[in-house]
Amino acid sequence: MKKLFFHKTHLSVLLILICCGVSVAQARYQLTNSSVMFFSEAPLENIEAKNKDTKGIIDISARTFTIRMPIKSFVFEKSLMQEHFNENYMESAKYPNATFKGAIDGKYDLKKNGSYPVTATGELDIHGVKQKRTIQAIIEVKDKSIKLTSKFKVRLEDHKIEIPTLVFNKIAEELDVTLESDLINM
Amino acid sequence: MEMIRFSLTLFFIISTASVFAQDDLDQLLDEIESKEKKKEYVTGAFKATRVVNLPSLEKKAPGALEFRISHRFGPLNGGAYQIFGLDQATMRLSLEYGINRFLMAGFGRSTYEKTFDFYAKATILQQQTGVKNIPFSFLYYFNTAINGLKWQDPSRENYFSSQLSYVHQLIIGSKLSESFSFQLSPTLIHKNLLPGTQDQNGEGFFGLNNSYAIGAAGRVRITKRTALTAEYIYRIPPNDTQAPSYSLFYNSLSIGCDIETGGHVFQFHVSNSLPMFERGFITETSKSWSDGGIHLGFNITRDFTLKRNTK
Repeated sequence: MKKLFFHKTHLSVLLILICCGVSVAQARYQLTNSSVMFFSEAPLENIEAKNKDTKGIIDISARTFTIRMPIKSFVFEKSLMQEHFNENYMESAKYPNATFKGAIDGKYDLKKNGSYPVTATGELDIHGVKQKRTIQAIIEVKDKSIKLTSKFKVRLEDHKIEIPTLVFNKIAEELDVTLESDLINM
Repeated sequence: MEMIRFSLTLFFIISTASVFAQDDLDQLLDEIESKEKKKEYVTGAFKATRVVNLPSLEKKAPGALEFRISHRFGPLNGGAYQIFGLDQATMRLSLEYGINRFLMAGFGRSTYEKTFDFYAKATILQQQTGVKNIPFSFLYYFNTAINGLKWQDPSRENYFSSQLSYVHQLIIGSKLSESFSFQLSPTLIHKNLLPGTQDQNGEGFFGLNNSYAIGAAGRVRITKRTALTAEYIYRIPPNDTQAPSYSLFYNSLSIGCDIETGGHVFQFHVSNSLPMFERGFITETSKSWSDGGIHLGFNITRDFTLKRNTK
């Protein structure tokens, strides 16, 4: 009798877990075909870099997200700039990724066409320095494709990214970052 | 009993659900990333394409042109009369260009024996992580130097080829950590003609057309933009160690400091070598550290981007 009960409980737990797992899996979206660009206006020449290796997952039901950007994947027009960016400014061997994770706020319906402004609140970790940030983003649903776009600023000082006075091509204190990505159901 | 079991189950479900929220997303991302590993080249083992004199593990990036001014003062043991060498100057100017990811080429002009030198450096294996884990880099370097001095004896028949010398070098090294890089450079030097080594009868030339050497060099990064460097080149003694082309010269030892500022690298150093191209500093270093034959010197590089990366 006791033995039988044991089996029953386990079965029900298993069932609940499976249901739970399925519902969670359906509500997860992965960032694909992403592109992150940053732009810095400088007196001598503007600095621009593009990253196509950004990955992330958004959990629609739990309203949480995590985004990860490999620093080494930023491609600059000038290879020397890219080297300095990795070696001197971002120290990408020590801090290989920039991450942003937290919770999403705002109304959206991924089954209906429309443009939904949302806010993402969480910890932005760049160069090993975490900052609490609230960043505006737009989720755009068009037929069956879902797009995520966001524009925000990053202050170099906030993340302890030092630009020495010796550097000839002076870089602006603030970078404009643009993120664009498709969201695909996992 | 039943109650306890039930509440335990419930607790378990609730706790897993909440854990799911954040850490699980990161875990999932880890899984996705581990499935599509990317090749990551290890770069920046040295600040410049030369440690001091010795070609380093670095090449110019594709489309990058570098102008390098190398300067050595006279020896410190020149004394106060020569203001410890500052009165004298030896120069080499060079231009080098990154042709693609595997190859760079350049040429230089030295005041030392009015030499033109042409050189190329190619990557055979690049240190990398990710898909494959290759812990070291392997490169080949070639230099040919043309002595531009007037013929010692214009009356005899002189050949252009007599002015030439060749250097073949392998460069094997690794960026062992962010702050420490090390390399070894086995080298073969061939001189078509050895000047001034006539035999007893005053005829013909004898000596070592081929010499072998092995260089060792390292870098220790002090800050993000400064590093200490050192290189030593050991000439492998020939069978006849009394041969003047070996016995009159010393092994090259240089100790330097690299300072990087945006598009420039400044290299300051002390070295017993005066020539700044391979045949010269490997086989024709005529001063020795032990008697103060040390030259202060510096290299300044300036980068120009001729071809931009297309995205």
